[in-house]
Amino acid sequence: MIQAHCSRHPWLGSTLRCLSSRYLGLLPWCLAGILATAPALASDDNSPQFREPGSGHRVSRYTIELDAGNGNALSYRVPDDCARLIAHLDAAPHHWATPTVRQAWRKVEADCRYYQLLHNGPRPPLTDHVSSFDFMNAPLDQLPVTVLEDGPAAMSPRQQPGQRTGIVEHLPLAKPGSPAAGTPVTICRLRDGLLRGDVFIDDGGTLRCSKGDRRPTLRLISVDFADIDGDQVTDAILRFVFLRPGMPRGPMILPVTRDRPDAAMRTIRFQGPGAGADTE
Amino acid sequence: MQRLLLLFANRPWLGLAALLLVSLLAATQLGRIEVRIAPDDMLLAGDPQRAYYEQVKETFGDEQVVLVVASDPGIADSDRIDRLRQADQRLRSLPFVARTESLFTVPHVRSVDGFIVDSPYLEKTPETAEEIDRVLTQAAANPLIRGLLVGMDQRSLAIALVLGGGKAANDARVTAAVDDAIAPLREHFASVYAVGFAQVRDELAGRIVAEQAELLPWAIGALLIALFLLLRQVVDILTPLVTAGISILWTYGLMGWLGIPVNVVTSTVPILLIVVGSTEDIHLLAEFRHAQRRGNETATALRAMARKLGRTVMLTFATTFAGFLSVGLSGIEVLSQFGLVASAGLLMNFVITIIFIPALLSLTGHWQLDGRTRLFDRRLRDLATRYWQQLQNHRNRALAALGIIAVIAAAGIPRIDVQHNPVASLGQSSRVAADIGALNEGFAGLESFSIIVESGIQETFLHARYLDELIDVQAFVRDLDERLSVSSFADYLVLLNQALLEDPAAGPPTSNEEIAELMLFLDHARVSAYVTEDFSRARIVVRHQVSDTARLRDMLQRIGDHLEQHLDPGLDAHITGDSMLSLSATDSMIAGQLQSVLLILGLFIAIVAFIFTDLRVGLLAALPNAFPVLVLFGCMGYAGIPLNIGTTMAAAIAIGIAVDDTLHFMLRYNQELRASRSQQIAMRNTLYEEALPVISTSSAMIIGFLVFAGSSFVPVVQFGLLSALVIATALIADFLITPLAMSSLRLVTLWDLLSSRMRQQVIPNSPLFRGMREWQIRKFVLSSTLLDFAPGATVYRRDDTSDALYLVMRGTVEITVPTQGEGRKDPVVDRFTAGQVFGDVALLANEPRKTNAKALEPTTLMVLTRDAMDNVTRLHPFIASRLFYNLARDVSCRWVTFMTRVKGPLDRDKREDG
Repeated sequence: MIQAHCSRHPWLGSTLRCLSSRYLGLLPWCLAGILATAPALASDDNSPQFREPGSGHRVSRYTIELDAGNGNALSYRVPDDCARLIAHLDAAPHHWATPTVRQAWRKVEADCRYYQLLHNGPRPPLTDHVSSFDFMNAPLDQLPVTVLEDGPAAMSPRQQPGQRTGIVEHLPLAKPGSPAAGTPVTICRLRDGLLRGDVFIDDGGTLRCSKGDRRPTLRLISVDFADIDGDQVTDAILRFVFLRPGMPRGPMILPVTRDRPDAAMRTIRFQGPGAGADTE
Repeated sequence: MQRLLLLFANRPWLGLAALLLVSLLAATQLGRIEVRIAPDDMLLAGDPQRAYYEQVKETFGDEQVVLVVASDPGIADSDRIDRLRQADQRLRSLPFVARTESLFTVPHVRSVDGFIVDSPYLEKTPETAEEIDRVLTQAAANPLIRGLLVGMDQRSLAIALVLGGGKAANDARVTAAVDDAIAPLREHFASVYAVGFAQVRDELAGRIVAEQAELLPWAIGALLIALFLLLRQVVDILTPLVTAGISILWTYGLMGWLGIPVNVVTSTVPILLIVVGSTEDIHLLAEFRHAQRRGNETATALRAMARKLGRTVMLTFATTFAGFLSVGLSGIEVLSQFGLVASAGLLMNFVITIIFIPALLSLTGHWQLDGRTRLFDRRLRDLATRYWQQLQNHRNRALAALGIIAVIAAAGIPRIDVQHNPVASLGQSSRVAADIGALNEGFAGLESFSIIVESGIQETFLHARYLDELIDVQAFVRDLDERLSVSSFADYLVLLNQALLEDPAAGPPTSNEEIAELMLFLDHARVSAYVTEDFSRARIVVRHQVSDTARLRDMLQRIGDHLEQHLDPGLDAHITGDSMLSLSATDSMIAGQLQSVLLILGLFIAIVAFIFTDLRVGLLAALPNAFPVLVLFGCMGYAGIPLNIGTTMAAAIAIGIAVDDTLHFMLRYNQELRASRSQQIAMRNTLYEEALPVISTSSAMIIGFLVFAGSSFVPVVQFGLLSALVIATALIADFLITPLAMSSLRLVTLWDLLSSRMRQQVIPNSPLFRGMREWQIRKFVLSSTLLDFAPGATVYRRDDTSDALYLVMRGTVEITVPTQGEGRKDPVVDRFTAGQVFGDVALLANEPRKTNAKALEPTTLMVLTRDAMDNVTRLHPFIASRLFYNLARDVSCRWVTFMTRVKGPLDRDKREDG
């Protein structure tokens, strides 16, 4: 159904991994992939990390064979073949035979569109006020967050018609109501990219997280930097995943930026790769 | 049979040369014999469940595994973990090992910074005991390895060696190499052992070879003692040993030729041949010596032996052969092989006996007996007489005692358990069994079965609804026994879900979308043992340590019921696996046990009923042999001896042997009764003639079977003890029930009492039996009675009720018409001599007699009553139709004769009147 082959970054890790006994059978593929992508990797300073299909490992490149229906399969190497894949998807509407096949296409499409997003604007950007910001340990209220009244279902970016890239304008969080009496709460802050506990809003409109319940809620899986809206200011593209059962697992992409080092992060109103963008 | 025995008595060198030639041929095949223990041989051949399981193994994979287990209270120590890692590497490098699975190799699926990492649990050795404990706890939380690679108490770790590497190796080599590889661990861990079916088979094979050498001398010794007690002749004592030795050689030759291996069960055949094969030898030798003691020369004694025992040895061989062969009818491979080998061995022993004994006796039989044997002989005759008197005096008490024993035994039968586990056969003293016991203590166990759930539709188990079905079944099975290890594809999805949600408490995905998202990160190779690539078929693997067959059956039954009642109708479920096949084999074993015993008893009843032309005799003769069966099963129930691969053979084999003694008794009694016509004399002579051979052969067999008690295989020990019990009980029954039963029956039939002249001359020439076959005449004769009349005695008078017709067997009967006048001589109507029938006209007309009938000389009449004729008509219509045709023809002939006789005087009167 899905066959993925590894190709990792940096070089050493990739080579060691591919030489491990588990992947001995894939060694020729790996070597070929490493050799083929070596120049690109060397020159590419904005290579996003992906979850490799089939393993979930962190990789910068992977090869996948996708079911194209009628017993046909199409092989893509992400991100090198992303243009070909997007062209294929945009050429005509597709109806996938099964949820699994649909999920595979969606995942590859999302990875490719994300890759395109990062390479949307000119480079290198002239001004950078975001890369010094510690997103992985940021208090939540320093990020653009929207509290949704409609509950978890509304938090899925896929609920929005035509939205296939996972890009959101605000980090959507469900409003769980008031904490039970006596529930200790604390400021909501990411710790190494992980937010734990239920989120509440106090009377002053401030986000608070429960201290007792330390179940993971949200994971910031990556922060990439690029000028996605072409304003020659570096943007930070954050990818979040929800960690609660029943929540969509596809990453939400939250592009943020700021004009001054001490300004608050704001979202970029973004029309999509290749289109212009407005900021709030 | 008589002719065969005499043939080799007359041409001894021909027989001996034939034996030598075949023995040389057999010897050429000995090199091909191998000791082989195959686990599949314990299963039912041709079982549809087995074919299904093979298909399941093909789909989901099946790998032979040897588990290396290291336990220590202080296992959370980096030095110990490193040593275990080194052992893992050594084991992995063995040429017959495809791979190892341990905490050093199996993936620990988890999330690091939002990405999945699946490096092994112990990829690097943690430095502190706390860290090691944390890893062990994480591993123990994984249902796919809990109880398999990590002990329940987290103080034991296992390395699973998946066999099947490039170089195949035999069990001995695997066992030795693995032992060498783990030897350095022993001084660092409290307990280290390797256990798997390779170890079990290796131990079984080793013990079989050792026991062949240990038990055979004991069996030979037991036979020698019994032979010495009976025969007291060097030649006679050695003869059964020679025939048994040749039989073993031929049997091994046959096994080598057919490629039948020596295994736990077939390894018992040589001893059985020594013990069982000697019985016919003893009977033949005893009969020969008996004839010699009567003063006969060798040739005459040989003829007497052939005449008296020819048919008996043939029949007793047939029943014993059937006993062994019936075990071979079992669908279980080892029992089937045993039945084939043992029955073939017995057949060869029989052939060797009827060639060798007459040949040898014709050459050496003239050697004289010693005086002690004769003294013994006189004592025995007195003893037999006194015993028979006592038995008759206490007849009711003896029968009552036996009845009580039978009832008590019958009450114990429901207590019998079933045990069909190869490991159980190793016994308590076995190191491998002890290791398996230790493994069962700390781990999930070596045994397993699978629940296959399927829909036939692709991606079924990627739907939350059907995934929940798997989870429900798993939960039900886990609730049955907390020590069960139950794993499925759903568990892997849970692990993946936990990794992606970074929450060790997360459960399974709850929607199709969630499953589809998880599937993005699932490598099917990780779950190929649990679900097919198209996700239409899933396997739930249950590992357990339930060795008790009844408990296992109950557990599987409950799971089966649950599946039937609760599983989604769109899914089909089957339980399969070694445990299931083992149960199937157990059922077959029980059915086979019953079938074998019934077959032997049925054959015995048929033989006896045929010989005595009376089914009742057959049924009554079965009593002394049904009694030991009852006692056997009762003892098994009370003593807690289970029905297993060994004990399942005991009843059939022992009964096959035990009926021989009954047959010897009955045939001898029949001979004696025909000779003496006195039940008292016949029974006394029977006891005298048969007591010594029967007691001797039974004693030899009891001692011989007890030799098996020295075996280290539990089923073989139980087989030996139970067989000895059956033979002993049958011996007692033969001396109590058989004489009493025989004395209550008319074992000598009318057919037997008819002299051979009558049978050969009168009956076939009688108009009544014209055109009838001998067995039809025999049926008719057996429903008649014989009456003797002195000269002048009246057979019937006028006006008597006509309720019988008469066939003159010898003498003459005169028929007269009574006249009214005093002193007038009654006119003679007819005279009937041997072979002629009379009294039939009035009988058929259903009128009172019109004539008188009286014997003119000593006369014997066969009387067939109206009731007997009705019975023949009802039960044997073909015989009756022929009989009535003959009667009609005879009456017509007599009518024509009568008319011719009457017509002469009438014509003369007419002429005189005219």
